[in-house]
Amino acid sequence: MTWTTTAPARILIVDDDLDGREALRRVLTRAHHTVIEAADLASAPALLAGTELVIVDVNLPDGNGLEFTRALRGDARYAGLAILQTSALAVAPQHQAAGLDSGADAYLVHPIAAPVLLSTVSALLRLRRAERELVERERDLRTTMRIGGVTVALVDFTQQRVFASDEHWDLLGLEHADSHPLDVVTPLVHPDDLSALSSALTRIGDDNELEIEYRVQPSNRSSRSLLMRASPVRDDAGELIGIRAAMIDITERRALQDQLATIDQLARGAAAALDLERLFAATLPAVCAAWRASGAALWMIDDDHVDVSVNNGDNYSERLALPLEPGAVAQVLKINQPIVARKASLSSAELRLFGSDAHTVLAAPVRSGDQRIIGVVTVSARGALDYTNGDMNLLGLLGERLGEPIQRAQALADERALVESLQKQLLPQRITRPPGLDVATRYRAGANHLDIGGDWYDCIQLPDRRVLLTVGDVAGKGAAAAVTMGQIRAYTLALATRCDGPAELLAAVNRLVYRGVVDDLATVACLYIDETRCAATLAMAGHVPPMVLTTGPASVRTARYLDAPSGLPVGAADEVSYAERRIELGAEWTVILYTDGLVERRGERLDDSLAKLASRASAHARGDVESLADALLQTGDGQHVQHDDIALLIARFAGDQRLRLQLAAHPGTLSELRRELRAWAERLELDARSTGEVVLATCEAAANAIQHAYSFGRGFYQIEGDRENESLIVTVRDEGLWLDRPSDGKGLDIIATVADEHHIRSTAHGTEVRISFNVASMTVQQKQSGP
Amino acid sequence: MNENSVTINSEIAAGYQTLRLVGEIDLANASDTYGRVSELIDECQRTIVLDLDPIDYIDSAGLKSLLRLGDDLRRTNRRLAFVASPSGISRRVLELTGVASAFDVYDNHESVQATFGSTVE
Repeated sequence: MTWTTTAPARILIVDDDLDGREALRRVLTRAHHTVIEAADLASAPALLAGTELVIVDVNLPDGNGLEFTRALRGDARYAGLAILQTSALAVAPQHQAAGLDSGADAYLVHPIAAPVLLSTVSALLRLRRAERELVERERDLRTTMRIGGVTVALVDFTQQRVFASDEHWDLLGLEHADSHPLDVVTPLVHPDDLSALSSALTRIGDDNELEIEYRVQPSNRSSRSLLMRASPVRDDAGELIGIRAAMIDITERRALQDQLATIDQLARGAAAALDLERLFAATLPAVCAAWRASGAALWMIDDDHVDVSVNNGDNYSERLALPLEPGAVAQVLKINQPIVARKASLSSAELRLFGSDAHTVLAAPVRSGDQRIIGVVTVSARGALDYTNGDMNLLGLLGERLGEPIQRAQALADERALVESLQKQLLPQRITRPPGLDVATRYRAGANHLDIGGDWYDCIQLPDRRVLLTVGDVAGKGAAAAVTMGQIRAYTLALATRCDGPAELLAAVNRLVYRGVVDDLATVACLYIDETRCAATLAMAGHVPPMVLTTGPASVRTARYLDAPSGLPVGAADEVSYAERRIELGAEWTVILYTDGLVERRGERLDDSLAKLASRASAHARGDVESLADALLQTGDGQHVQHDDIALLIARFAGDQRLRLQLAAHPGTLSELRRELRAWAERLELDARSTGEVVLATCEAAANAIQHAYSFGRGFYQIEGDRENESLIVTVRDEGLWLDRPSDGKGLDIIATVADEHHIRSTAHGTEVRISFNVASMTVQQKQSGP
Repeated sequence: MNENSVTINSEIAAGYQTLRLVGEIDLANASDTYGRVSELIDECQRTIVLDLDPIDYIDSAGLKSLLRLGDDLRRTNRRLAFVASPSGISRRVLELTGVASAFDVYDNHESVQATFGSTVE
């Protein structure tokens, strides 16, 4: 990732937290900015001279950063000052909204990652610098636009007439004369401005001078904006007899100011977007409206083609990749200036996008911070609307202001994508299902833009048939947290076989995290499931409590939270001893481990969230673990945004009568499969002969899955065995395609003969062989068996 | 590497060679078993008897590898026979795959001896 470099600026940090200031200063001085610091609001104003950017904490001991911001905004001396608010406490969207409302240009929540800080600071500085350039440009435009000169008028109350020069009557569209009656002149004032103007003129007796802006509506031309400066005329007795007024026609200046304000608003809107999608969605419809265009598009250059985002009308519509053909966009890229293009010079793609009735197109370069062209912005006119050079220049100004927000949004989106992919790489790619257990896992990144990464789940089979279920959450965020998570997972995996139980494991992991290179904390829940599958041992390191669903009398499923005395999060202190608790799970159970993203709702108490989660879990307990996982991830009320990451691990034991296996698609696992099948048959009290038949048919199906489903010996196959009344049903499932079926099909012959029924079903997701045995016929065979 | 490696005992009696296979044969060790049995076959013997009675498990892949031995022997004008007790798993697999009708399958070692022991060449 590359960060646009910005010319150094003088930056004032107002924050009472010394460490917070230190952290910001380190990052900013590394980017060559000059940093001045104030610990409170009282000492801040004296340091403002020459400052381009103020970074202010919203909560300070001697006042509120929001009011400070408001005060700065109301002071003309600091018109060009950029203001960035920060907070460690006020993190909700409404706080952010209140901050921006007070006049801040941006609002960041601690801890602030260095790239985010630098890109924000750089964007704000450029924004304010561009603004100052605009003000200067406006001054130039004004002088070149020959704004009408000053006209003078005298209102004589005694005669009820207005005396003025010919230039003034031209402005109002009246005949040249020495004077016109007041009741001829008055109706020309715009009705919306009339009452304000008359009340101001009545007050003039008290004030000595008055300045007011109002519009007039001449009969022969469009309305004009006038700025009037008036002073009272009194007779010898001091009685008000008239008004002397000087007026300037500021119509063009007003229009220009409005347009510049629009551009400013557009650029600010774009700067607030966190990714390109949102930036385009926020910007394009507004561009359409501002240029009264039938369509607006942004063409971003990407090697040999352009990524086009188009809006034709009200809704943000589409994004597509197009080759770059000779046309308006190519022309702008070539000459590096805004252009007015006629229909004849458009490329076929442009014609298609703008519509065949578009007759004029404005196109302007979008420039990055280092003045490189990164794209082109276009608007198209249809019908009677025709664009002027003024419209074109304004689009040019917009193009210059859009580059930075686009690059920033791109960089932020890139960083998020990086963390997400890192996080996914460091989580188990696939959980191997321990014998007897159904397992479902989920990871979902939170909505908070860069606050992702660091949540994990894992399911580890120990050699003694015990199973370790673990879920954790690293306190930090971003790429570093994802890496920390990967390290803690590796520690856990390595230590799990060496520790007797979860308390010992947590103590050992804590020692490594605390003494190792990892500089972060993590909350962890560790649950060891016994080899019998009927009991477990739990230990906790500051984590949210796991939930268990058990089947009570009358098949009522109850949800309860498991508790164990919680120790410190791992990495918090050198030697921590953890307590563990033994839990009887019963004959059938479902355990749910999760991270706090699943239950944390802003404005909701944790107890309430936990109660809601429990009732949602019981409501969906009947489905399989995968659908239960999906149901738990749905927030349901549609109001709450999931801000934080979620890691979720569900394990279910459905009793001894079932067989659940997942094995690597490798011939070496066939002996393990036979062992598990024989153990299952024993639990079902099948005789030796029937056991042999079930083993034979199932293993033939498994061998087929291993041989034909996977070309590189990678992947898994799954075995499910269930007893349903008089039938024993075994399903062998793989995720391959069985591209080369066995030519002699001896294995299938065996299955066909041994089983009472079998079905082979191939889908896009793999192949499923379902074999059923009649349990009754197996008992008959038992009597016949023997030589 | 394979925990289920098959143990093979070779015994040459008057007129034929007996190879006793002990263990489990499946996809994982089928071709390995074929190779090891091949190496043990005595070139001078016209009849090779595979005793599958001590086998705890054999699948179709395992059986296929043994049938390759039958093909090898037929090419040199020799023959392959099996011992598998009627109640055992190997007999079941031999029957299920139709091998039993294409080869001589004996219930026990005594009937093998009765057949081949008398025809000394």
